[in-house]
Amino acid sequence: MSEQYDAIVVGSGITGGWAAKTLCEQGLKVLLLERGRELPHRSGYKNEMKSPWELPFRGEGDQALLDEHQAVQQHNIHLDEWTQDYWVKDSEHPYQTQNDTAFNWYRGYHLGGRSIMWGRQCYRWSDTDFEANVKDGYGTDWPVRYSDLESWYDKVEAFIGVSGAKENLPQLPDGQFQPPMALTPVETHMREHIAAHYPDRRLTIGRTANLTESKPEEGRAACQSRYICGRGCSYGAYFSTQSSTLPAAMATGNLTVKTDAVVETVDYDSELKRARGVTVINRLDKKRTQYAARMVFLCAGSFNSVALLQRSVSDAFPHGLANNSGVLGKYIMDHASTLGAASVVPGFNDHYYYGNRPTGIVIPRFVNMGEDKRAFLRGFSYQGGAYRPSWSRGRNMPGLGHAFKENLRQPGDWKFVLTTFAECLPRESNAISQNWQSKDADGLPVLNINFAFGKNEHDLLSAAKEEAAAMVAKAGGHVLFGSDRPNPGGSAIHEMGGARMGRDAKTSILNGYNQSHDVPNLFVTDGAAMASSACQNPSLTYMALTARAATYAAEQLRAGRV
Amino acid sequence: MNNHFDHARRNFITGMLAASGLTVLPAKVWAVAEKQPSSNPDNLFLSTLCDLVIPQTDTPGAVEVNVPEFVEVAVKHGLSGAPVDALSRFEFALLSEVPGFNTLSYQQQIEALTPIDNGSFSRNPDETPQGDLALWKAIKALIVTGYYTSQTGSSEELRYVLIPGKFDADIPADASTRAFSSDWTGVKFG
Repeated sequence: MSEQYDAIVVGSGITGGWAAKTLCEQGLKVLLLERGRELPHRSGYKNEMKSPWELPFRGEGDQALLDEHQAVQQHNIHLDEWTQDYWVKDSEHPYQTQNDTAFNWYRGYHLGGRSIMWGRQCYRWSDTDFEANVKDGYGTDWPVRYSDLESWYDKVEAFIGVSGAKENLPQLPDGQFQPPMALTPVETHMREHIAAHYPDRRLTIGRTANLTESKPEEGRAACQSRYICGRGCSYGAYFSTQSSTLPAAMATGNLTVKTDAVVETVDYDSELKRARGVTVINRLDKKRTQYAARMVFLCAGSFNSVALLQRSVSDAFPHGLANNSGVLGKYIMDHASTLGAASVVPGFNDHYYYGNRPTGIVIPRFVNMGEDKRAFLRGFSYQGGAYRPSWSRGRNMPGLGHAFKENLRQPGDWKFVLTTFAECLPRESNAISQNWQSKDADGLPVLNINFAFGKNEHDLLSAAKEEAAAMVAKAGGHVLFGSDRPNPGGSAIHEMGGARMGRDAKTSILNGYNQSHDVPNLFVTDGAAMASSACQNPSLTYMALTARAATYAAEQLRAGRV
Repeated sequence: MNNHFDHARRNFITGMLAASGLTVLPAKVWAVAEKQPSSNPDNLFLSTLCDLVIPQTDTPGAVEVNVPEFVEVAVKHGLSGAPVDALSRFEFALLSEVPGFNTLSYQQQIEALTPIDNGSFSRNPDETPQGDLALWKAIKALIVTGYYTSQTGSSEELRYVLIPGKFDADIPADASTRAFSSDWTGVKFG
């Protein structure tokens, strides 16, 4: 006889933690399933406090092993010898790309998922974003607007702790911020010159889920300015499942967590027309177990949630659960990203900084806003910042002997970089599907990813390169490099879509509460639900949607409607 | 076949170094070599390279903090894109390009290596080292990495603060200001 819960949450990352916390606080008995290993807060962060000389490869990692097991993951700049165990082994969890397309799918299979390794940037979306599809006709209309999410953004920000500066920008609404982190002199200089030459543009500090004020009631200390977040933070200074949502959910007494629990299928009861639970493969002994629940939340990460639905075939849903519309797996997106400008900024070498700020700057979207009209659709934003290079510049410069050593003793000349994040249009041809013939280490079919950026993304990056160079030049910087070629899809680690929300059950998978149109006790609240990509980091919106959906679901459950 | 050739060549090189009366290498290289004899004869040549890149000054140099040992391990594991035989191939190429390199004084070795070093980072293809001399870029990268990630390089030559506790966005700096090896942004994005 299978175990019975009120709700099953699949995945323990950013959205899974939020779903578990919200549902538990609503009084529901919740089973949280994580496919990867246990990763306890603090004691699990085994490399957190290690210095480079305490690691066999000084932080670089064993390249031979990386090539063998993490051929894709190693391309992410946040993977290093301290953090590499948080990133999946591609050798165990392969995927395929089609038609000569490239897609770097970065994943973390352990308790907390990518909440351990995420970039922590938190930006609200605005109605510029939620109305984009209906205005230009690409994609289907979002079933929500900013007013539907505003109070949920408030709740999420207040709980996770987001530091940032209020700027009163309609395209990037302000939030419930902790005090902002400071700009360096070069960044302040850039902010002032950009504002002077471009009144519609704003450089502001990155809004980040790092505490500038401690939250003692939650056992979380303020950021220590180490900027080694990707190793895990024993201070709990950045938001992760472990530091934030999991303790809250556990405190209710309503949560059961099972790790090494790979969900193979969501099981469908064709008589009741409901999901009855899930089938789980134990990662270690490969035994299957069924768990029953009154409702199921999928928070496995965009592509894995979609893959789970695609695996969950039945007579009622031969092409994937909740896929009467036929759009499951389609309209996937990732931001088109590239290094828009790398520059040197003379005149500031009598300034340096102490400590490591765990965020950069952001220049919100300004194209196709107000009087700014372009030939392309939608927009882009920049993230980046100013810094002084340390010793590693010596790997890429000539020099020998005493003079070389003396040179590297000092910090290098100030640099200022802008990375472009461009909105990705939803396209039917960008899609994921199952390869039933090929299995991964857990026995699941591997994913086929067919993804390519289109002309609009290329045009956005081209404009971004041009605008970045112009802004830097106006501020006296010298651009050394700028690119308008997108990094491979997936590089932004903002993969999303595949089970989009929408107003019409014929063209979407989920309604305005992330609830399946076809299976009313099934919810998908991670990035799979996205109907467009905007150009902001999406995680904060995922969290707001999840908290809102879980609250709604609990209400519906109590009312007997799911 | 190659192993036999390399072994014979290394013996020749070692013998040539010995015949030169030890004066051809900085004394400190020999001191370290005697103190911690390497299992690999190439270590002598590698120690020379390490010393040419980062010598002892008012702080220990690359040899003193065992960078040659790090580079040997790093090459075996493919760090910085170096092939596993990078050291022996570069050694052979350099000695072919600069016969008697090992008999030169420290300053002469610097001068001999400088065109290869400059060319390795030049955008002018005419200046780029050809053949196995092109391996210098990877070898140098490993020497630099090995030194500045050592405890001495990180925290004596530069400054290392694991837990700053605060972020001060603007502090004064001058020519005597030492970089932070624990500035992970400054390190990652160099």
